[in-house]
Amino acid sequence: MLYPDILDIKFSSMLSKLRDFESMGTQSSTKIAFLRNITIEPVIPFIRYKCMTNGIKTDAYICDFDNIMQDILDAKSGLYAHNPKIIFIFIKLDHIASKLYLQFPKLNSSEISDQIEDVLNYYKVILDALRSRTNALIILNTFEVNPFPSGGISDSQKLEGETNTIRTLNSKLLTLINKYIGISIIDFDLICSRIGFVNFQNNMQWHMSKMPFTNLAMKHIAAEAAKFIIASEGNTKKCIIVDCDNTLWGGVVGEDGDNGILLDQTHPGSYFLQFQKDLLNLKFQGILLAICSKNNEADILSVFTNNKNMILKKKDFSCMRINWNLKVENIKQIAKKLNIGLQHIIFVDDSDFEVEMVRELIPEVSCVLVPKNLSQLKYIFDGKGYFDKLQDSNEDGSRTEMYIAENLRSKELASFTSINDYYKNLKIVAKARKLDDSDIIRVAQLTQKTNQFNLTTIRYSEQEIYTLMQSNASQVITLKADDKFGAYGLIGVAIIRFKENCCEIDTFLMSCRAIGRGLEEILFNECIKQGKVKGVNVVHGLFLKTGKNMQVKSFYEDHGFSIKKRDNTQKLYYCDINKINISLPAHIKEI
Amino acid sequence: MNNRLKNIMSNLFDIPVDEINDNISPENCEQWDSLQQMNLIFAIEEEFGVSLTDDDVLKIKDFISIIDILENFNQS
Repeated sequence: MLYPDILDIKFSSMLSKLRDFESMGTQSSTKIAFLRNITIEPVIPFIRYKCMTNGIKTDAYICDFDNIMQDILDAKSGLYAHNPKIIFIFIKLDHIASKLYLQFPKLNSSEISDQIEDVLNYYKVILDALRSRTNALIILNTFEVNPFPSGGISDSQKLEGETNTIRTLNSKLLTLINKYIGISIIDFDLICSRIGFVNFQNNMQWHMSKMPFTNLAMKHIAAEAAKFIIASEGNTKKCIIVDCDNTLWGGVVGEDGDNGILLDQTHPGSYFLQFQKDLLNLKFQGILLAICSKNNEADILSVFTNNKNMILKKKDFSCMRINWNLKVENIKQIAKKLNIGLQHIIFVDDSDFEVEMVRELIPEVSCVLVPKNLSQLKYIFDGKGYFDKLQDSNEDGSRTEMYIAENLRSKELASFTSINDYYKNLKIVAKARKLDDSDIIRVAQLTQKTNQFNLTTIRYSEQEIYTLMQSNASQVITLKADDKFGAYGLIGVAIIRFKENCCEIDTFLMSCRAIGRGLEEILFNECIKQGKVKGVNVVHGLFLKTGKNMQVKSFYEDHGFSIKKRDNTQKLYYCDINKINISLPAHIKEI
Repeated sequence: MNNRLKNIMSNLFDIPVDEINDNISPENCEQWDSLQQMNLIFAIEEEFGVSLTDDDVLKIKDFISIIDILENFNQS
């Protein structure tokens, strides 16, 4: 089945094809994982689609939003439970070096160096911890350069300008990863160059949903990311089988003679000269070349002997099948002789007829038709990742396991940061308050949008929130927080209703941006405090199960509540107000 | 236009096309959450060749509102 290329397919049809593929067969999946401080959910199906078009099924895990450290430093996290073969870590610089990214002109020379060091140290903590716990291939992104730095034309003149600073950072990141085994870079800056910054950055979605990419950027990033997965599964191409006439040279040797073919420095023979050089480059990278031509063998061989312009020599080809038989048969024979699977072959020919027959009868072979527009011959392999390798070693082209030296592992275990140190370092400050007018809209929105950390998923309009705020029989409590990187904003909402001698927690939710840090304890504590102020003895808590809030299903149990009533969809809990179990996190300062 | 939008929603939400009626909205469709809303925006922009503004996105409340937004693009 010929699937449309990732760059040509529309998002919604891609999802449908992916679903169909998933439901077929019992093929085993390659486990991949994503750690991120941005929203990348839409990118993942694109990656899985591209893998699918290469016959690879994937099973993806994604960490909670901006919970990179939490997943890495906790040996029991979902990341390690998933046991991925490949881990992608997608980080936007805003969060980890916000001044470098957003306020560059403010910084002096030593502050710039400090920011760079901060970033590198952040990655060092990540990589040390990951490498001590997993053999997975780890892939980090580089940072794209801002094409319009506020310094304007003078910025490019300075090695310490904004543009060059990002390039320096990327370069230092590359140096850092080379101290480890099995870490790779996915070059966002390069992708941005390919498609243009205006086509890469999606400022509206960044502000709305913390998704910084355009649709086009997502596809390119996904295509690039998939290349690593495909290469790690060894599904790349090992051999190029080429036709001769109008492929390696212009014209037909049987008619034009071995020096009448077009192959020299002048147009259009120059296109073929370029193509031969490109093929030779690939050969130097370990790709096998072979010829499959419908011709008299003597005619082809005489070109190699007599045409001085030939870049490719006879010895550059591992196999030749020059005869009048079906190309499909010849290709199969070449594969057999070279001992490689058909799926590892690319076939290049100028004939629609030949290419279609190969596509029809041996679809595992990838076919490339020589373009009618010869100026495009230069680009026929571009961007497809046909020949990608994870590392440049020629000795072992199919390494898929990274082995960690025993001494490296034990050394790191002693020195990496604990999760508590990480939390402390965040310097989180939290503020729980009764709702005031200015936050009504945001609170209503949160009740409408929050699905995961939401104990009851009751949706409220602004008017309803206003009423709850005004009433004596209820209270709306908000939680705001900051950390050293910036403000989270309003990220927690609780609605409590006062009934006879008890208070009932009607709503308790946390924005997905703020979980994994213990902030919910601050909000919960405030609810209990307000209950005590009202003089109630018992707190009731409601949990309404949905498909999306399983992560909080034992929230009340964890806080010492018991079940009062239950049915299929909900549980009503209760607890003596003085016996509730709250552990306020030491790393959060409450104001 | 209605059918193209219904096809998109069918693919995104994994619901058969004939179960998507003109009233569909985040209120009555469990699959239509904020993540899917973002996906919907991408799919719409791609399918209809438009670029939604902040105002357009805020107007998205249900199926009909999206048709309205798209019709505005046709007119301008």
